[in-house]
Amino acid sequence: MDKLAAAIGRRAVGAVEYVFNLVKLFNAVAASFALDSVFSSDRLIRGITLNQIIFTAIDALPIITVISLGLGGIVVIQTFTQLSKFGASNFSGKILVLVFVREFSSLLTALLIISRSGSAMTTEIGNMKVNQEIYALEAMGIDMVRFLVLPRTIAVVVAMMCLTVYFNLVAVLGGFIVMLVLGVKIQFLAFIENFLKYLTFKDISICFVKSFCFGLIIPLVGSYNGLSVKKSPTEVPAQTTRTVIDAIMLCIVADAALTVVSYIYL
Amino acid sequence: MSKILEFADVGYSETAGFRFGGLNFSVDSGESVVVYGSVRDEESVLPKLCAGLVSTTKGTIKLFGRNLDSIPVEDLIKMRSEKMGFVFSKPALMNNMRIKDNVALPLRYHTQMTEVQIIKSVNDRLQMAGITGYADKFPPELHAGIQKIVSVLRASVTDPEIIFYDEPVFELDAVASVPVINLIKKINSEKKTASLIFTCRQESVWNFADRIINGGTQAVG
Repeated sequence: MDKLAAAIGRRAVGAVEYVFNLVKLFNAVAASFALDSVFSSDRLIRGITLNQIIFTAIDALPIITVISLGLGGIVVIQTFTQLSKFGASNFSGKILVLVFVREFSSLLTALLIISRSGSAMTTEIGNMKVNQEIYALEAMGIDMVRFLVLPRTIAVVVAMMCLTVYFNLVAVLGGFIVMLVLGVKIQFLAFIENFLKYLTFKDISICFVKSFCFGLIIPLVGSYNGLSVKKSPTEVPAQTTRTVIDAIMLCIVADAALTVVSYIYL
Repeated sequence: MSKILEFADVGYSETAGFRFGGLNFSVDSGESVVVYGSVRDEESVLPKLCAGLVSTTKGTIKLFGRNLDSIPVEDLIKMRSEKMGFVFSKPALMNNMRIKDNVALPLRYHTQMTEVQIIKSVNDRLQMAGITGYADKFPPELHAGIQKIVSVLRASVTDPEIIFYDEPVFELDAVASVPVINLIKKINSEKKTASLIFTCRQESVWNFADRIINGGTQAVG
């Protein structure tokens, strides 16, 4: 029993320490961002940021499209058919807003970015560590946070927010297409109007706040775990797996916390 | 000639692994010095000591007349970027950057040079090493010898006062070693850049060096 308690204690301390280190990394990124005019002067950092945006956002469009179309269809089928039984099909717009805009668009987009870009970040930075590239950069007087973490953080925040908007649009479109396939006679404008009727500024704000938070969590976890690799190439896949698990967990915890806060205070 | 680097009774030891003790030597500007040891320095400890990335366990190191331990981190970073170049035992190139971008990296990060000036400077370097044909390739596409040459060019592109070479011909055969050694010689003689070469290969190839010092390194554990 003592051993179990000790093991749980160690894990808890480890988790707190891990989150503390992520906060320290976030502080360093924020300081670097505040001191640096990334978008105005430094072409090198700007180039890395743009490349990361292309990889995280543009290259992810096909998979986001397929998933959001499919999910949009599924949600609309379920809500519309169930609500129709009670003569409440008008509320399908409200359900769409709640399900997608408020809750799942940002979370599902985050899960996709974690699996594509978060894991790629850890692999890339981990391999750089193994190949002594990180030492070479330090020896050249290049700031790790400014060169590696800051561009990735900016890029993922931007990509997260853009992809979340895109996810919502395509999911709604997917829902409409499915309704047409099912033979429901509804005009596109009426469908959109029904959706927009229930969409409030609060919903959009919550959606963007969540996207922003997830956009910070993913690159910080990905970069931190990559930088945690020491010498061996075998550490890279282990840290990559850790990134996926940790980032998913932290995003869900943050999502739950933000949802509770939004219902209590907004 | 001014002293760039001074080792006074410098020692380093790890609980398990690399160690040495009582290393004394100095490097003057424009000079080339080879320090050889009996066992390969797996972690590139010696160049890291010179860069201030690792601390000595004994003795003192002076860089440009200043005690390394007393140099503030900001000054040390500035020194590394302006006055020092490093070539590690692995080429340590950025694998996601083309060769020309790898060579240009210190210029793009540290200087306010225009893109035209940077491209000209990089092309001159690639031409000096005879590898202009590889400018648009990525490091993994190239032979280890070419990667090492690029690594040397990257270290020298800012015209530092000293370049630290850690096993510059490590894992290269005799044929592939020649262009790397010739390039080190050329940079030393043409650019008047001091060279400090750490190696476990005491070979006649280092006969161009002004001095060869026995580092007496050893491994334990």
